[in-house]
Amino acid sequence: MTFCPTNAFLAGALTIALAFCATPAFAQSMPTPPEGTRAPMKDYNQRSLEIYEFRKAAKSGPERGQEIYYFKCWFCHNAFTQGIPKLNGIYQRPALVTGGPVTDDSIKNLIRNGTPNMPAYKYTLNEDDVNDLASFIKEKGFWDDDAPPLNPRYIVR
Amino acid sequence: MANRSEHRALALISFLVFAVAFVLPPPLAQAQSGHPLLGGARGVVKSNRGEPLEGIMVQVISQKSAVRTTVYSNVDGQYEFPKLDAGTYTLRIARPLEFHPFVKEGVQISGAPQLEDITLSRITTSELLPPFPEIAAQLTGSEWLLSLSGAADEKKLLTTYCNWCHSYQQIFRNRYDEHGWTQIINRMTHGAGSPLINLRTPGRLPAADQARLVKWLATVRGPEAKDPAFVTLPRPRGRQTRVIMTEYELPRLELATHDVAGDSKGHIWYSPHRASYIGRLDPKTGAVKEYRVPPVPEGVLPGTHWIHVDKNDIVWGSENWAHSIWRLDPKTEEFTRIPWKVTTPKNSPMGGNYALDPEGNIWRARDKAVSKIGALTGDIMLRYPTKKFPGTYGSAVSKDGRYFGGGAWPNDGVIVADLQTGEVMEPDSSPTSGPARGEFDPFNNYWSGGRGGMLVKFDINKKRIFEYHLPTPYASMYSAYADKNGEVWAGEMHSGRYFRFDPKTEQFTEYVLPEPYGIDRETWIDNSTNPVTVYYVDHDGWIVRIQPLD
Repeated sequence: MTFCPTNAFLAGALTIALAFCATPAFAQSMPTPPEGTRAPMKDYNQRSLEIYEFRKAAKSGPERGQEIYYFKCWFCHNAFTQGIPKLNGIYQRPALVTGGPVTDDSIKNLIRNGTPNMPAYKYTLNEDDVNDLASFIKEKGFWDDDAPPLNPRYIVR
Repeated sequence: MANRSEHRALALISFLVFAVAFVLPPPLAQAQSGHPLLGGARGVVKSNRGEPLEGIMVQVISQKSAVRTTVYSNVDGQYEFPKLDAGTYTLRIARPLEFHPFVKEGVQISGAPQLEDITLSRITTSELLPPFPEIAAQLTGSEWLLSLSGAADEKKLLTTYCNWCHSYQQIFRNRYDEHGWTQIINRMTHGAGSPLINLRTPGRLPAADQARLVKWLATVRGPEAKDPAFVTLPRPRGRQTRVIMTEYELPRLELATHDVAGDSKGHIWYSPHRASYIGRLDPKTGAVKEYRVPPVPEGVLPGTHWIHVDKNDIVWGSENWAHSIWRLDPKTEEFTRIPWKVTTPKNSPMGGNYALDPEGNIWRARDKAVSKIGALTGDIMLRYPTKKFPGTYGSAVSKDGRYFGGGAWPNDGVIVADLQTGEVMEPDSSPTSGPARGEFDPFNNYWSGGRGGMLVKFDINKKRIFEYHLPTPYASMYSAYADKNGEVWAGEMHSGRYFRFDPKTEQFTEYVLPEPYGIDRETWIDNSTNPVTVYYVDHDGWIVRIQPLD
């Protein structure tokens, strides 16, 4: 599933985001383990676990952030949609379209708390997810449709 | 009193009993099945209480090719691989679910060794499983829906309108508040096709139903929702265990892989629904050769939907967002692009599931007609008007070229046209059965996969529809494919299963997949083998080969 602003810009979004930023964000995307039962080991050979944890391309960092971006952001923030901000080069802009400064923290808080047109991701992305996603937005910020990421599991090159 | 010879006889009998009981291995445990597709490494799976476990997916991953081979333990816990290349493998259990995972790296396999017993221990003594994320990640969509609370109509809303583009896991692993779910569902149900670029009003479902779906998701997957204990589907048994699954990695991620089609040399071609790279797999080695489809016009998403290999090994594809057909000659590696004359906006689907007849013409049903179109011109050559349904989702032409068939879209029904007489038949199917893609069997019956979890047959002799519910709840279908014997094969989307259906006995056999999805958009069957060999590409990005043992 993906999120998205369905209409125009993220007007007022940053203000709302900043209003919440004093509250720590806690993702609850993972089920709560029951007490008294030993959790199973993680076997990342199971592709569905890699998919579940967004780690097909990389264990952490911008490459992992790109995978999160594809599933959580791309369906709105892509090169083709109308009236939705593109995120590439966002750090070179003087301000967010909402009027606030462009910083690591303001972007992360926007992701966590959402806007009137965008879901709040604090319930579904944990801090590692948000950090990796934000690092991808800072480094690249767009999905290159002509160069889908390479699959590290494919080794017969 | 026994004499000396009797003593000797008793001693001999005692020795033989001892030898049979304790020294000689149990004959079944080591005997090879003798099946021509098997004859490789083998072993036994048992519980930590020593009981044999049936239906466990034992998998080896080649360290050389990353190809995964999965076989299934039988009623005695025994499994046997096909002959594998000598080398190093990872030995593991796929989707262990109620058992703790088992992984053994660096297993050397050469010939047909007897591997160490695999002993599995349960995570819990309870029937329902604790909601650990490691288990959640293994669940099929059916298991998610069996586990979550909710009324039948709430779950039906989801399975009717959210069933084709992604796994249910992609929904249920998340939590959002009601505002967040509203934004997501709005985009999902108003966006055109799977890229969701162009928004449409009205959306896919009535506003009241959309609001009800949001409320339900915000309840079961809201910030405060408690995780349910997990219900799991039964493990495979009997005939379901007599199959070999081989999975192949592809060079790139997030291709939204869609179709497969085989060529005369045994290669398997696949299409990427939202990317530029098609590929050709060599199933013998796991090697893939990529071909880059030439760039699409500015402002248009690349991607190939339908793919087909004709009798001359020319590859055809449809670009659902750019609205073109391409043709690739693999010998010269040259693409030819044919603009497709549709009025739909770019980045919205042009209805790209087509059929190529034996003479090389494309067939489709759209704009209230079944049409024959010049594959190299895009011009309509012939039209058979429909009376009831505007068009079809899928398109198929019988092997003899006489019939066209497709699942009616967006209605519940099928269109079958007799191209010899011009008769167009438009029977209804049951509500939300949703027949889509399919194929004709050797007897010219049309089979279609229905999004409502229904296998739909149009019987060409009786000229009526027969419907067969899938055995697993909440499973959906997108396509169906008949083999040379008339058996029908398809992936069960969201149940993590792939079935074969024998029309003579009307029995399904479900094969459990090593990954919990089964998102099969188009199967291709190699009819040159006995039994047949079946291929599909999972939408999440790997090709699966299914080799039944009977």
